[in-house]
Amino acid sequence: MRKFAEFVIANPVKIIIVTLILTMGLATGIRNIRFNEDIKSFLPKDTPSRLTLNELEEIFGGSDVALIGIGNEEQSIFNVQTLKNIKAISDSLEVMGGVNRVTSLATIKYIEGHEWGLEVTPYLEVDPETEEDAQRIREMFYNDSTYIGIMVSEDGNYTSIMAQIMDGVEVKDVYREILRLTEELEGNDKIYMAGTPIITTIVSKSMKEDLRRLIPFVILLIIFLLFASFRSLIGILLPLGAVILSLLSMLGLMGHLGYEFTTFNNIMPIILLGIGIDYGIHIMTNFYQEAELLKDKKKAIQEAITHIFVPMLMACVTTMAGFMSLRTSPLTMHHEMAYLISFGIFMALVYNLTFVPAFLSLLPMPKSIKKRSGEGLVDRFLDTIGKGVIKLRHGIAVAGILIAVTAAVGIPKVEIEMNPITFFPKSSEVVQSDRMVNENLNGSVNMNILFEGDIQSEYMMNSMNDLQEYIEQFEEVGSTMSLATVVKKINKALNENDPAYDRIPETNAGVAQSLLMYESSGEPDDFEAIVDNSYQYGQVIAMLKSVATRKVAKISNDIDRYIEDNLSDVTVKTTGFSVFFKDLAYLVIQSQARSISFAVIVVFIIAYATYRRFILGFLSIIPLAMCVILNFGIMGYTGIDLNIPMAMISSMIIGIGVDFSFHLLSRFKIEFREKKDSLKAALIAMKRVGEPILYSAMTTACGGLVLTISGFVPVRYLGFMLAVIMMFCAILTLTLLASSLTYIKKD
Amino acid sequence: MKTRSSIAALMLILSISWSDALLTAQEQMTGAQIMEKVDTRTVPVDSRMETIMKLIDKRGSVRERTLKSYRWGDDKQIMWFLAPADVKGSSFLKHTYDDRDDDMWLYLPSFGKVRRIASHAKKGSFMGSDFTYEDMGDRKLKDYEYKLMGEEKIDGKECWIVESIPNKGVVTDYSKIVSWVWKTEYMLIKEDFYDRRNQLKKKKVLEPVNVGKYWVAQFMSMENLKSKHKTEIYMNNIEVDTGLEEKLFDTRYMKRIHR
Repeated sequence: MRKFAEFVIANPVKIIIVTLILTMGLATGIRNIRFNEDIKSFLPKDTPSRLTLNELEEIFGGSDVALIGIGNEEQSIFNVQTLKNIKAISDSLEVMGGVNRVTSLATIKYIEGHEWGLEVTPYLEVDPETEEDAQRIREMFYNDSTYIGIMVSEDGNYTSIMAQIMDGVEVKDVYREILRLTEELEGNDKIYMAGTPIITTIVSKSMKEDLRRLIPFVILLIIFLLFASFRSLIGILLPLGAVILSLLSMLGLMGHLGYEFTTFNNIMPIILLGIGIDYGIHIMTNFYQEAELLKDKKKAIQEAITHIFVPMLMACVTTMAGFMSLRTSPLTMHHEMAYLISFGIFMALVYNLTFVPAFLSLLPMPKSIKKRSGEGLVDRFLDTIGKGVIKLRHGIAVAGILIAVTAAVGIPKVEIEMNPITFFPKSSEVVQSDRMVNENLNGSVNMNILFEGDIQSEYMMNSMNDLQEYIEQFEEVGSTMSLATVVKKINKALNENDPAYDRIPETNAGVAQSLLMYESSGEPDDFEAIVDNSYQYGQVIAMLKSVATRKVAKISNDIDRYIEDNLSDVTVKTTGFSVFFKDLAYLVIQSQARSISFAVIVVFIIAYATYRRFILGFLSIIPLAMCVILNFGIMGYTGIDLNIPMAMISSMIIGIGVDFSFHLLSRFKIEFREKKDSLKAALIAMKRVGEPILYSAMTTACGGLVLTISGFVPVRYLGFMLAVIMMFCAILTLTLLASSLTYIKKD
Repeated sequence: MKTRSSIAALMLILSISWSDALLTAQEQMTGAQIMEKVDTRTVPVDSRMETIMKLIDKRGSVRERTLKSYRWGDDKQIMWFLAPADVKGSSFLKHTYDDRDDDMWLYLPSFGKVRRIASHAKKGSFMGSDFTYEDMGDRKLKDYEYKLMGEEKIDGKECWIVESIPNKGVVTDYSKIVSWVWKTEYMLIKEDFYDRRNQLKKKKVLEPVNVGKYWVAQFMSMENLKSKHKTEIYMNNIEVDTGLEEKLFDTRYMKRIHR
């Protein structure tokens, strides 16, 4: 340690130059950073629903659906101007690169049986010229009730245009094109965009804006904190410089490794700034203290490094361990985050032990710094608390257990939410749009059920039809569509529109010939979206309303069970966003369970290795476990969802909170060895480390509160919970952990 | 006045003889003239054949249909499905006219009645294949503007390349069709179809065979470049001028496969 310190002091210029060059080299990766909000890419590649999606997209060319609602509240859409707009948007979408196929009034076809045969006509083949034309289309539309409340709202004021995005195309390009397109519309029709691909695109865009807003804010907060602590320019610039360098390194590495920003990890920079600045504060505080004491700059630096090296390394290692616990998550996104934050934190340590002291050794000796005001107050406060804690130690233990149990009861109430629409405030345009489309038109969350076998057999057709009837029972389901839907319509049309024939024909020949009839009237690609050429693969497309993930998961599970019970002799697989939400929810729960257990075990092992006492290892995890339980308990009682950003909170709590435990335990061990009295040792330890722990908790809480200005609702809650829980964690460490220590009898 | 009209008369005479000269020297024909020749070329009085239609998707999976097919000149056509079993006995009848839309009927044994196919189904698929009725050659001469683009040798056959642009108001899937016309027989042996974005959408290829005193197609294929879907039609056992009666090409004969 001392040698290292000497080396740093002897070669400051070299160290500064080398650090800067290395950092800049690493930082070149920053321009490669991309933002990704594609929910399906979050799922591991071998997730069945993702494999099925690949298969489905290979067969049908795509599955993502962007929904455009159009209309206005004053009049029915069946007027010349609106119909022209629908036609114009549909036509432009059809020829737009990246759009596979369009489903709207302009593309769907009216199947009608006549005495002489079957007629398949597009509702809107050419622009209507007169209001009579518009009324004729209206009558045609209402003759066939299939699309009412799905393609056109019940009141007739809105209609939807669905654009299926081509497999492997950037949705944001399509989104931009659609926006441009809708801006050119005439008349007073309003446009509502919805559908998971659109929402995720907006999420991705908002993430960048959010970072741009949050990072400067956090830096301002840091400057304020540093100013309050040190009242000197150097005291602000050096720790800030070190933490910004570590941020550049982390982001650079992120770019070089090709990792992407997602809603999982977009607050990483904020977390790093919050944690990294602590190291800077530690080293500067120590330096100023030593300088005051030794009146020699070089010696002060040397002493500061020597004193701080081991505790800081310990803090760093334990925090890294907390975040590395995300490595046990089944989600790749969590792994990337684990590496990146750990790396960033490690680099913050490195810069604070090299760059900062090197700079200090080049600068003149600081003038004596003022002692922070109010410190006496904190001391007295801690003294009172400390005595209280010792006095009430039995009560605290009981209270702790009671709080833990009460909180634990709330945990099952935690709702898990994966739908990206919940990222936005209720008043935002995207939520309004989504709600309008979901309430009046087809749902916006797709579920695709892939059938494999002799699709045009009567048996398969009936299996599909039965499944569709089952799915349509759920009130959250907007509509279902498949080849069976079409076959039923043709059968009815071929039987003089007799409603009794609105069913699958009784024989395979009947089905095949219905299709032959349609094929001779429609266009070759009419069935492209629902059956493949060889009639070996078919799909049922169900559109679900954008509702809580819990409901989507239930429907999805019910459908799986139905398939298991009734379609066991048919090859059927489910996929689509509704299934992804369910799978992701399951994986997030799994990630929580795994990372929390891993973190707790690692903390125990490190504590045990450090203090060589089983009981200390055990006690060190008590405040952390309590905080995690409290966190989920509060979430359960207050109705804060567990969602993608929130999935990292337990790692943060453990990663940051573990420092508090270790501070207290280290001090306690030293004092206990001296005093041989656990009561006295606990009291002294508490008073000594109380202030830094409270200070650190408060800075983290401030960081958390900064997150509440985020544009994303879950990030706001994450910040809020972080602030609350970190304060709890400090208090628990200083009360529950401190009082538990008094039960230790022998060294 | 007099001078003027005589000049006009002279010009008229000149232009007629000029165009005559063009017609004699084949190479100098206009696109429209070539396409008119194609439309009026000599075809068998009647013909019968067995047709195998293969529908091939981008992954190479094949769906096959076998039909028995009779033609009456260029105007009438009847075909009965022989396979697969679930459509066996279904039949298709078409009457083509120069001055109005074609009449088409379909008979489905499972439903018992002869149905008419809507006349505006020109863009519709021919029996679920990549050929639309339009692609099968049912284009009306007057619906297009033609332009001779050049010449090219295809499979040893000297061809003209003619571009057809649909007139305004014509219902079609295409913005442009480029045809390769075999000079000797005025036969279309290759066509490229461009979509509304003016991108090449489909490619049609035809292989002629000499039967009796006629050249007829023995193979046709159509490939959709967008969907990568392809249809191949093989004409086997082609017989020409077999003495079929015109009355056979009537809805009454659709319900039983002709022997």
